[in-house]
Amino acid sequence: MHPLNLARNAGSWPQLIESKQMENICAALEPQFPCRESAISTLAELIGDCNETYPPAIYIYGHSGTGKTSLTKAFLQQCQQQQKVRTAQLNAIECYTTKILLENILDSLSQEHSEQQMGTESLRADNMLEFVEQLRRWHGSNARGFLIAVDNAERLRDMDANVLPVLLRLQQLTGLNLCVLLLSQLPFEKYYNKTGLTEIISLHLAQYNKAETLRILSSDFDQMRRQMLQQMKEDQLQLAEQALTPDFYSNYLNLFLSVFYKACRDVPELQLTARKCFAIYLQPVLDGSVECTDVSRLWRHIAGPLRAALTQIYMRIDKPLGEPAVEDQSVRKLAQSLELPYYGKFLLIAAFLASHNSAKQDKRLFVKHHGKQRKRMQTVNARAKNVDKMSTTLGPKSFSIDRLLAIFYAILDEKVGLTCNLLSQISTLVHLKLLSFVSGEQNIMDGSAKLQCTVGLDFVVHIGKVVGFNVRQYLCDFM
Amino acid sequence: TRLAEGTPRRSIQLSNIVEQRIFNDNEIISTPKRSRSKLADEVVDADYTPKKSSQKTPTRPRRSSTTKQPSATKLKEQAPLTPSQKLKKIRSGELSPSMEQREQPVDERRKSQLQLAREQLHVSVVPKSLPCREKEFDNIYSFLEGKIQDQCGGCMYVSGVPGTGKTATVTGVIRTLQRLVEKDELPAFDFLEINGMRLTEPRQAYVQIYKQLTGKTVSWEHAHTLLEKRFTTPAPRRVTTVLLVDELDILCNRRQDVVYNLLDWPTKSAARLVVVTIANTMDLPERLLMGKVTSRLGLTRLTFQPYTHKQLQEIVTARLAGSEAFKGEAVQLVARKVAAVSGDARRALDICRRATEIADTADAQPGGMKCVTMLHVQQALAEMIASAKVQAIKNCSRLEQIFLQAVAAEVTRTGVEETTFMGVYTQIETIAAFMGVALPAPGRALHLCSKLGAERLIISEHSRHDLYQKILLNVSADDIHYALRVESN
Repeated sequence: MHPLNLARNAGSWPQLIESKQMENICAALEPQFPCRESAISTLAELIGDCNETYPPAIYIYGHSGTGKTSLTKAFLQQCQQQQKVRTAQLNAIECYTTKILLENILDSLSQEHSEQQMGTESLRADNMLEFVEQLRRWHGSNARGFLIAVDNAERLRDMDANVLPVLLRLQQLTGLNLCVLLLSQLPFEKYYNKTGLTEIISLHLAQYNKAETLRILSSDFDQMRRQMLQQMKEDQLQLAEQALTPDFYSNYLNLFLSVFYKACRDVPELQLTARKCFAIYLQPVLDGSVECTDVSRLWRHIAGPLRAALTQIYMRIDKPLGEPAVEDQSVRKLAQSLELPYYGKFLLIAAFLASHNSAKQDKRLFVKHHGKQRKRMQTVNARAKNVDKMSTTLGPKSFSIDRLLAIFYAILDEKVGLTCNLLSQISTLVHLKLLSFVSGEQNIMDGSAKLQCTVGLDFVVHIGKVVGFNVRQYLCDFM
Repeated sequence: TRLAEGTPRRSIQLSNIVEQRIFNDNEIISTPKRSRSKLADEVVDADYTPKKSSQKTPTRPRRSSTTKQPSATKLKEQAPLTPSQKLKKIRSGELSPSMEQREQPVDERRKSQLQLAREQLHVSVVPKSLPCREKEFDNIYSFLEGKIQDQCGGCMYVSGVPGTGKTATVTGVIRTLQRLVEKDELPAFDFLEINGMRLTEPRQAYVQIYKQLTGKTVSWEHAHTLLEKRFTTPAPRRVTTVLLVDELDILCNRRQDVVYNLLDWPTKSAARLVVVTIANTMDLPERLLMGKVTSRLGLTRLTFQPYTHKQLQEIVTARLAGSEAFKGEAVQLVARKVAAVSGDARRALDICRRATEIADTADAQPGGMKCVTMLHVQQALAEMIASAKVQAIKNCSRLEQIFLQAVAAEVTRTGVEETTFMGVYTQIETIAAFMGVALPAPGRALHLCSKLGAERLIISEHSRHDLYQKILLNVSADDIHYALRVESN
């Protein structure tokens, strides 16, 4: 150590203790949160020691799955256990009024307080003024510091206009050693209001890079191994114990990340999928068909299932990964499994045609004897230019109920009466969210209501196949 | 601790504050004062007390009550009042709200001449006779005296821009008339006063009027029925009531029922009510009030013109009254500057007071006497009239100045007043490249934008719209140019 440094430390005895408190917290947290050493030490420097003055507010931001909430939660717990600090952790989504927010904070800050004195009765705070006054009463209580963490802090912008400014300077208003931690996925630039905010210390939790992700994923190797071995049968146990080494697992994770890292960097999501795929990876080893050191053959085995799993990422469906789920098939399955009545299906097709064809073309498409139409060079050129602006890709346009019924009668060969059953099916389709109202929801009966079809082309084509109707034939885009 | 904590059924909080003021935390005032003047009480008792039918002399219950009260207070000292009892007493007007007293005011003789001048120049020190408002005084005086002499009702509408002595003149007339009443040269009259700005709601006017008549606080419905009864039913020995309604335009709501009632009661023969209404705009009756209300307001109107510089000079000299704290030309400068802007007497007096403060802190002249000179007045005028925007721009940080320049440049480029942040940021890029400073990141620029928006140099939206937020320049482009050009030279 530098002699000057040493002298300074020796001169101020409390500083040694303080730094020890900080170190305690760091030491407790760093094993829990690998690759977050710098963030933990920054937090510990700022609010690690309750004998020092806290900063008024800290803003912690980063992508989802970077450990904002869990890190803050663990940090606050450590602070509460090791020091005389009272903490409160809450979610701004839960607090849809200011009163709930304030009383939640008061309740969790005064936990031990209320147990001794007031029993189970919770403190009341109807507005900010009362909240600040309640906090001011805690001057001279045994707590040395107060930490408040608000998750999903972007919701604070939508609450009463005074909530965010007051929280940012709560330390100044109450005079307590208090720090407000705000957690969100947005940068703080999105918070400035018209009247200005006080300064805040920002702490960015950057997304993990590939090496860090690998380290985090492999950190739970022991737990995973235990779980695996518990599930094994007697005859495989020997092989499995041999195969399950850290090297083997990290090899697997390397293969896994080479497929998945491009699509997803969300650690919880990766963790979930890695667990699922590992059983398949281990299968040939347990069978004895592949040596556990033969990486290239293992890769050939796992590559297919991994790609299949990649299509299911973020879906959180518990499905066996063996069968490849082609997207086309799933749409077809959905279309076939949708149990609509016969006319309902035709109504849906009619609605699709109405929202993806322009009304000008209706006469040509659906009227039997519409007369001759000359092919103009102009229209051909116009269509050639806008080939990527097909109406099926641009999204649905709105149509009236009259037009829907007209197309319905045109595409349906038989003549059915316009009964209330038919009309009620339109409203059923709206309830099922296959159609939606664009405007005029109040005046459906006078015909000014506008509808929109909200299903895709594939879906309608499959429904068309079910009833034996070629949808593409009636779409302008495919002519 | 809260006083109201013991009584959960009462949730009125304003009264708790009043109680704390009065009782100074549980200390009880032993002698409740009677809040109303003798005059008012007589009127009240004559018309209002339900015992009126049984008792011919209205004085008796009052006397008995005054004899009762000392004993009651003795009892109270033994057992302190509960908050609800206090509230009851406040609502019935038996306890008058008082303020905490300081120990001793500063001795009058120790004050310097400048201090005395400053006190004289305070806006709250209304002189006995207002200078430059003699004609208006005569006008109101003759109107009110005529109405009181004739014992009939009527309305008058007084208008004028703020600070032209409307309320001061009217209350001055009332005081003169009250003095005449004391000398028995005029029939007695009752004076009530309400101010639209002191009411939370127009209907609270009934409560205030009734409170000034009896000292009791009741709900507005009750107060309205009681007032209606009083003004519509004829009673012997009814004296004239003069009601001053300040800030009439605040009392105008959609239904205009309150204004209608206040102006309709004078038309009743039994009422003997004279209503003097004060407002700022000259054409308020035609613009805001309904036809029937305008019709009841009548055509007796009086407009207070803004003071000219001579009048302002006269007012200030009258306030100073022979003191030599002010130079003559200093007063003239104030008068001319203020008369050119608004003709507001309050403004002139405030600037003069500020000038005395500046002179007080300045070094004494060789003569030993401190005196307000032209220089002091000029400084005060610069403080109170000149805009601070150029100073604010000059004191902005470098990047904030660049931001302001960029907004101005974007306005000139597009020709539209309203710009988006995106366009401003491209201008910042250009200016920063031109000046050779490092370009701030958009997030940083949003911070600058919000700071400037909080200082009201620009008008911006919430920064959640980041690139698409709309920005308006709140200072003129010339101000920016001037501030930055002069600084660089």
